[in-house]
Amino acid sequence: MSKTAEKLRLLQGRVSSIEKTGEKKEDEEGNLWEKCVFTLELTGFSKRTPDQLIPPDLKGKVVKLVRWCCFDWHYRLGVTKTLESDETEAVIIRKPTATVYW
Amino acid sequence: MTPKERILSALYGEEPDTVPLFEIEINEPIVRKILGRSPKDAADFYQVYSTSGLDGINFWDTWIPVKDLDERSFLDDWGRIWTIEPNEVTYYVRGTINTVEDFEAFSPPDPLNYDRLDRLRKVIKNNEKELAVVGGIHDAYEIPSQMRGVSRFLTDLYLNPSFARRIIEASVKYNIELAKAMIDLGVDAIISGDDYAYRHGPFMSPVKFREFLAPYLKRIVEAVHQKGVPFIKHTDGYLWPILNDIVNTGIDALHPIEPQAATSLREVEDRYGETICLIGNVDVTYVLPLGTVEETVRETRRCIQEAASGGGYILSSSNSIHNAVRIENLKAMIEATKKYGNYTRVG
Repeated sequence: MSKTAEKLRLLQGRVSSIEKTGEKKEDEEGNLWEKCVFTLELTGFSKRTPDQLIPPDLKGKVVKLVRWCCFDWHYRLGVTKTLESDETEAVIIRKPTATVYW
Repeated sequence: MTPKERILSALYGEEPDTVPLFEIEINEPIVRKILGRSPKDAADFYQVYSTSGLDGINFWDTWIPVKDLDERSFLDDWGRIWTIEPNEVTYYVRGTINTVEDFEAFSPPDPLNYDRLDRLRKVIKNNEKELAVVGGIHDAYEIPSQMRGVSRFLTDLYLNPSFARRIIEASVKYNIELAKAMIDLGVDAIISGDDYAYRHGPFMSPVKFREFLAPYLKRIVEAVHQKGVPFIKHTDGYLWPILNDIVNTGIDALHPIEPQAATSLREVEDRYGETICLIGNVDVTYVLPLGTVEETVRETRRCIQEAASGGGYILSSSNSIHNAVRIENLKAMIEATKKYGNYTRVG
């Protein structure tokens, strides 16, 4: 297993709602992507780091996550969404970014 | 993301960049068609997996012949007789552990036998494309039932349970040591290949499953987890009566979620998608061998639609790439996954 895979801790949360912003762009294959804001309730870290426990004050915290969506399966509610590593650390140090805020 | 990172991300229940692709096996005649010649060694199989666009490769622990019985049949080191059919697939014939005395005279093989680990060793050493390398083992059912013969072993569970346990213990002890050796070599995940069910139901009652198989599977899963590696459970068949018990052993992923066994990918995703990664289930009985490219693309999109949301999903056939699979459909499945399986993007 690579060191990257071993050490990354990634926060996850359950999607409660998705707001379409109307901002769109086309990819190289002609697919249309729309910028969306996901509302997540944080649940914990992924199984990658089973020993990492989410700080109690972050469990259940509601955050907004910005993602671009294209296919209809991107819009499913109730599923788990995973934050990127830098987004995870931003939440942990309580410093909002352009893609994760509250 | 490298192919290895893509697979691991899904096994950890995360969203990779795109839905990963994995097959537990591509049968040799298909490998030969893709290569344009007979595969000589593990490197040839690796070339086929990596150039096809798959993100991982699996090598099963396999029988080692100890005695040729005739032109096509042989006895292996677990006391099982196999025959190589004209389609080049090796099929189990029967076991030779007929009595308790036979078992007492039997010595299990050495899991550290150099030949067993040779293919994995070579592939891990030359993994230029950074595929996820998976080590295939067995657990508590297949080897014991094949040593004794399926009917006799299932009868043992009722009439001679202590004997059944001794055989199970031998298989589990061996497979734990084998898994550890594979992990020490550098595999990224372990998969166990024992089937537990027919299309209409499990081989044994849920009560017997809980008594004889689940605790031993759990023991293997825990040994693999102690080494820091995820565990994939393969089993065909209609699993609903025992699926809770399988998931409760702590497995990280389930493969292949057989649609022909009345097992809906969406339903398994709804019930267990938060707990385990799902691997499956593009139909390998009609669509991949007999369907059109369009049907294959539609079937692939169905799988993505049913299970990819939120991550923790790896696309594969509903068993393996067997001899009858059409190459153009295999390609279509892989291309459709890359085209329609992109996850939401950050920027």
